[in-house]
Amino acid sequence: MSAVAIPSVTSPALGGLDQILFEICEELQLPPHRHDQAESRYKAVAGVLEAEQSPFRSFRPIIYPQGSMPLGTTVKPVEGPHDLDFVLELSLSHVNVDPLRLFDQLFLYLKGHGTYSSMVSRKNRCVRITYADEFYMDILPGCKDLQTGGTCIQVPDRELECWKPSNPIGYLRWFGIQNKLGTGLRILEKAMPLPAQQSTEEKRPLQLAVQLLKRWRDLYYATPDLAPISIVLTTLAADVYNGEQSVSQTLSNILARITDRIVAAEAAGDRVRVHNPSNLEEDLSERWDGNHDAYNAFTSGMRAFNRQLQDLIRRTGDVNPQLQRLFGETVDTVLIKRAKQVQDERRRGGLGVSKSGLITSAAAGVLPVRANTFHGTE
Amino acid sequence: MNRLTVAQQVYHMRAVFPQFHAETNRGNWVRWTGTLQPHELSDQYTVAISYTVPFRPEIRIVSPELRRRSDCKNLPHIFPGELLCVHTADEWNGGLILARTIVPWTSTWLYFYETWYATGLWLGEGTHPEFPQHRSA
Repeated sequence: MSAVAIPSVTSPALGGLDQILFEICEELQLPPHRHDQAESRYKAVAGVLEAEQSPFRSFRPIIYPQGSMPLGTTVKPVEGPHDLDFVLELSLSHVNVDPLRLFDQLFLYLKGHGTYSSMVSRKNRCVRITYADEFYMDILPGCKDLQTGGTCIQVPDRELECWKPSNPIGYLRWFGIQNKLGTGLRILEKAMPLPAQQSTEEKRPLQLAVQLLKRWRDLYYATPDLAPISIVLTTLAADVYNGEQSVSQTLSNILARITDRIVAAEAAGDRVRVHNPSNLEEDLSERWDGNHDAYNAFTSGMRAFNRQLQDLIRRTGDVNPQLQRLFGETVDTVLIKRAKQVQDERRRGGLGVSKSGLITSAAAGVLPVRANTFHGTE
Repeated sequence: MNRLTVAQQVYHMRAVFPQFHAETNRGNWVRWTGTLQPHELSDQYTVAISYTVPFRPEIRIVSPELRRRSDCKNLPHIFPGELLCVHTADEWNGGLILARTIVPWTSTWLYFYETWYATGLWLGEGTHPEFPQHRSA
């Protein structure tokens, strides 16, 4: 019998668990209008930074998005705002620039701008523009790191009052390679566009697994300060990814391998260290040095997620409650959508049932389901 | 109405759902026990269907036990005694083949039941004479 289960509306090639994980990722996508809004705001701010009166113009600024939006790993927030991070890279060596002066110059320029004056605030490494409608943009100023070369940059750290190494473009390239996309990013002489939002179908298993990891993280940690940050989870996931093609296999292998790293680090009397693979001097997990609670929360969370996901994969029965525990209300949304599709099909007389009882779309060799009305007194 | 005998019903059941085993009294009563799994990620349910020609077949879930939500003590679309209610009086009669009606309806019921258990919403519609307030989106 070649019956296709009804809920497989998007990617019938995927198996049961992969299909539902895929549909959960679809629900985690940022709504298109919010992506478009982020894009137009990004263009507007980039325009201001490149404008004739901008103090940065003479330093041939290169402006490009970084983080989850260009990586294609953004998840719709459980609640609260979403954000876009971008880099303002000046075409000069950091050696000749005072990091705090560069930072303040960016802050003061936007502070003096009619549109942004009441929206800007200083963070440790970036200037934040907060919009009234659940969105903020973080601008990371930086200069070229000519000593290290390549796409490496140095960015101001206000608390430490010094430069810190980074390499956002190198990171994107590295992630792209890990993701088997293999696409290099072009450096433009002006603001690089924010890539169009990839549909879930265009995404690779690694990107989907990162989205799932991030949603799990958002729900699992009651204290957000203890939750591992996105860049750490994304880097670990991409680093241990081995080209698996199924989402469930990708996620489960990533978790098993991260757990192995935790065990190995423990055996060596160390913690897991997560370096920016494109700039090994940048320790993305440095906050764990002074925060043992956060590190312990990371290790116990990863172990719990690993255990629960392996249980779920091994389970033969109804997995909805387990999925709900891991990924929250998004699972309800998916189940409701599916059931509505089944019901629509049923109303049209298009349902069938296989020999084992599987509800499918009516097809040759499948028993059609005759019209009926669920009734009852309780 | 051309009423079907137990032997005819057993014949059809064996042809369509061979995993349903019949016990009969060699008269007008039969009970089938078999398994149904409405979705790849569902539980596999053992279902017992008792039928006395030509009365309403009684459908019971033997295992796993039907679960109740903490916010709703009543299972949707059930008769007293946890018998599944998968049709109205006019939708079934002894001239219809159980294997082509009752069993597919039971599988469909189980599908919507699992979604109801997870979300609190019964999305398979239907009538609920005594509990019209029962939530269905």
